[in-house]
Amino acid sequence: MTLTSSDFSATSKDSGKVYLFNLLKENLPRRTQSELNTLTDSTFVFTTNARKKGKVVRTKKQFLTRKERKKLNILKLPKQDWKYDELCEMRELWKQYMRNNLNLYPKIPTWEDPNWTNFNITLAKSEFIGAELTVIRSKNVNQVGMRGTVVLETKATFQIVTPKNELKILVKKPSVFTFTLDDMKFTIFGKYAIIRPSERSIKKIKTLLLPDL
Amino acid sequence: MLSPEIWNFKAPDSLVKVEKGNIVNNNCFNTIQKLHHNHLVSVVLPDTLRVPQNICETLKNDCEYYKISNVGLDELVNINFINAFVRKGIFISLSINERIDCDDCMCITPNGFLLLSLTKETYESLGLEGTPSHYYNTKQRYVVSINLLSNHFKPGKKNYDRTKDRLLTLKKMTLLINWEPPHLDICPSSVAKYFDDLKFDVQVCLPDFQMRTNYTIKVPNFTMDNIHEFVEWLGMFSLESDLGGGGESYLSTYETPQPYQEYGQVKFLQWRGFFSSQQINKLLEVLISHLKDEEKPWISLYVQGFSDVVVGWDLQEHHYYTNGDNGYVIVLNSEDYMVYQHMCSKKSYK
Amino acid sequence: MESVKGYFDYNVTDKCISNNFENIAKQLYDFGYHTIAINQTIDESLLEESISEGKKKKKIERQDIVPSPIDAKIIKGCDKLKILNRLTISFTTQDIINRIIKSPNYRKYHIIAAQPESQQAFQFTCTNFEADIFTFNPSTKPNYKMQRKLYYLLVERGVHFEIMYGPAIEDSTKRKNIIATAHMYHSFGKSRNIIISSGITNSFLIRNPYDVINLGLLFGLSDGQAKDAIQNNGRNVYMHGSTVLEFVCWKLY
Repeated sequence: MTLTSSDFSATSKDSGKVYLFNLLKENLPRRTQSELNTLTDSTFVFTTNARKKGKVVRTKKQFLTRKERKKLNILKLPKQDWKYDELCEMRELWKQYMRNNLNLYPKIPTWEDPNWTNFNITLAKSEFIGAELTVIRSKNVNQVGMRGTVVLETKATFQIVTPKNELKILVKKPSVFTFTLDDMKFTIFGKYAIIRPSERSIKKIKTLLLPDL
Repeated sequence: MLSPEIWNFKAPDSLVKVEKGNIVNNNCFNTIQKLHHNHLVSVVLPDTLRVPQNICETLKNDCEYYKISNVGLDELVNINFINAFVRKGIFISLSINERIDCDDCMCITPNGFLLLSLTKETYESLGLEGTPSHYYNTKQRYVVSINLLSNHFKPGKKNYDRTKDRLLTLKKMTLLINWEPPHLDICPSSVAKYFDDLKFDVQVCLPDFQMRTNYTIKVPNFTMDNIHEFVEWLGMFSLESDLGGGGESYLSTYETPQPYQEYGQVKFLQWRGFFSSQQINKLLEVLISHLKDEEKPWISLYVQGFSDVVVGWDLQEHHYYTNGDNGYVIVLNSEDYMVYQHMCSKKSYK
Repeated sequence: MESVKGYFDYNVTDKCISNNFENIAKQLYDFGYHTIAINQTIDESLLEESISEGKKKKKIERQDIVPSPIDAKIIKGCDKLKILNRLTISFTTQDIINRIIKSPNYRKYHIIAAQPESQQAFQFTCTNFEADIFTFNPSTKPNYKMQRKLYYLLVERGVHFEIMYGPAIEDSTKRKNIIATAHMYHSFGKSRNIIISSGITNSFLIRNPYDVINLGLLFGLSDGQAKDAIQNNGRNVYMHGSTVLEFVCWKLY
């Protein structure tokens, strides 16, 4: 920006001048402020304070932090307003999903066949939301006999909706669950499934597991 | 690097309690009330030529018990059953052919409690609240107790419905039942009829009675000093063992404790069945009156309980380590009585 | 996953089967053993001869080393008794194990027992082999040295140590070896994870389970351990043996 002394002497542009003067006072470094009054002819280079032509920064997709989630109350499922009958579609969807999964094996292997291990691994990696689980055995005696559709699976629990439209939280560790699919009955020992569902599809399951609580 | 100690073995544990007193106070009946499920009763009558009919009949008449096969336990929780039989009169029941240390057992006590002793797997599958057995360090056995006479135990209440539902999942058992009606005009077989109407297989069982006479027997005198030897003699006599000293020094033989008297005839009576403590009570009263009328030196009564029952003495849990005997001997003469209880040890094994 | 109960006897030798198994099964049930296992043995030393013979003959057929398990249903009179199949492998090197594991008959056995005869075999059992029971031959003294570390390693993996009472009744040398091994287990491992089995070859050798509990006291077990040896630990062996399953097991309706 180039200023000449004529800018300072012209009276019609007084307001502009005052504005400019104040602007200079604010933005220039203090050392030069004393020389402001004796300005005749100066060239100011505002490069140090010049606005850089910034790169266009794309805002990163921000996930909600755990604290924010807790505040919004979305970590827990609501305890009311569940309708067991309305979840019927979900159950059918899950059954189809499981059938597709297991259809990879034309004949269901018994524990004598060689691809028994693979069959079990497939089962272990599959998703359980929408399955109809029943607790058949548990160290927590009040939970024995509970039956319902899974709506949420966490690291340590299964959350189910019972036919009486209640949300029940079943702890995995002390319990044994069963579910049926067509003419087969499956039994899950909770103590070996204490993994987050997202990790369960990746992690390897041990082969030596005792079927005892 | 220690070798185990295998020379200092203790005898298997058992507890013995002896109580002495005067008949006048009627305290001898206290012990009888504590053992609810009785299996074997035997009486020894020294110096008796003829046993009065009323002694033989006490445990024969009206002492039938019924064996019901393949009953689901939810039938015993049926409110009609509870109102008709458990609330009125005295009802006791026991599961048979189930071992207390291996399988699941049940029993019903006269105060209206249904008790189940379950293995860990059965308990976890059943889903009713219970406590772990204190005889085992690891939690391998649990006892579930259901109060049938509670005011809150009615259909419509959550507790009742859940209990009934869960008991349906338990396997069926064979039971022995004994019911004493509250009034004399109600027949005890109405309980059998109840189960028969429900199409269960009911069998009537009568107590098995045996009488034996032994002649010229050396009988020790009953004094309060030599109780253990006296009870040992009673046991030897009841088992028909060889009581005479053989005189051979190589083999050990039994010798009747001194002082003793020789009697011409000694009678031994034995009943085997399923008796309640009330029935034993009646027998003891009859024996006391017989003793007073006929002036006998002494009379003894031995009662043995079941080995596979859930509760033993005083509603405490029963356990079978290598034996599960509970029983007592009552010896009376005209003034005093002595009660000799032998019980299983209450020790928990590690 | 059926539940097993009652007293356990994990070593009824297959020699009993040939003569009158019905009687023996009924006797065992009356005594109180409600779960038994028929034991079939594979002995490496016997097999080696047949292998060398076979090579000479240029064997075309590949015979299965592992005999097929004896089917309990064919033997009548055993309705209430639960009969399992057990395979004992007696070996000195681990080569034969690989052949055995690949055999189709191997998977049909409920319980596998390892009987190592050398130090190398013993090491292999402790680290790699998936056995349920660790046993020994009572006719000879053990060829390997037991160590506490290895004992506990086996305990962690759920392996149980077997002591037989049948051979002890028959022969005095066997009796000495059995008692010596039992005391060794006590010294090194405080008698943890021990099961007592019969190892009977005929019905005269069967003993009441309560007598076996008292005999366990002679083997250095405490009261509770002696009772566990035929009861709770027996159940644990069955559980361990049925871990061909992973966390989901299934059955057809």
